[in-house]
Amino acid sequence: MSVRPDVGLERLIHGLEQELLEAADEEFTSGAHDLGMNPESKGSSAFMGVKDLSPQLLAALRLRVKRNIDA
Amino acid sequence: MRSYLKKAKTAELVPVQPPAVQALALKLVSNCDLLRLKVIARLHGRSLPPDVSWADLLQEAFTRVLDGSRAIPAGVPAVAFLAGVMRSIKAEHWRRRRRANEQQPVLATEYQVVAAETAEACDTRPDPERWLIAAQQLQAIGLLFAPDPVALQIISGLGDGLTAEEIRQTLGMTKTDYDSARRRMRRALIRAGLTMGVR
Repeated sequence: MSVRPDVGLERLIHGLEQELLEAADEEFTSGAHDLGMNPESKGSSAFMGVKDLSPQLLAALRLRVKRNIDA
Repeated sequence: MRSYLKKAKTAELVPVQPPAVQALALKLVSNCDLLRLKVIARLHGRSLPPDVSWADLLQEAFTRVLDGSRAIPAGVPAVAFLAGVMRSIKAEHWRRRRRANEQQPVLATEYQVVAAETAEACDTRPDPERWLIAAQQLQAIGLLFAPDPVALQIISGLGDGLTAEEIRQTLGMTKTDYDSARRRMRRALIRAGLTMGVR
């Protein structure tokens, strides 16, 4: 790569993001199946970080709820 | 009898659902869209400051769409729009960090001396932390595709800002070979995006 690392990484991420946006749904479900995950089940580990909350995010959302209650 | 238990605050009793789950319930996205967005968030997470996780980035993007601060324009797919929101949140984080760093003039000046020798003359002043993270992540992405020399060449082309057609011509590949390399790259990205831990 002939550019600065931060510039190169952003360009690379953008290019790979386009690839992921164009990929068929089946590529994601079969990718999960290959890893032994079952994305059809509600609590699948494939959704870790997506359907659950990190402690930081939980605190931020609670703060937002508190502000709405106080307002 | 006096209770020593701390009285729970009202906000702590309100059930909080992740914004991504709310969006799923509203049928804004499907389960498969969530998988796709997770892999994309993971990818963007590679160039995030260390105190921000890909999961925070993803949930923040959903929050902005759900609270109306970012409205999805008609005709734009929700997943593509959310990916764009993640990109802009990431840029915001780095801008904020840069402003904070500018309040440390001594460190910034010291860095400029080093940077001037290595950076391209036409580029704006780089953020040293961002530079370091990017160098490490480029290496990590290289390792991800290490068994696939064609994918490595495509990655190098993407990093140089070349289009798919330009990369294909530069590498002298047929469209079939190029598409098959892209499929392998997507498979590796999807596996990495769904496998790793939360950070």
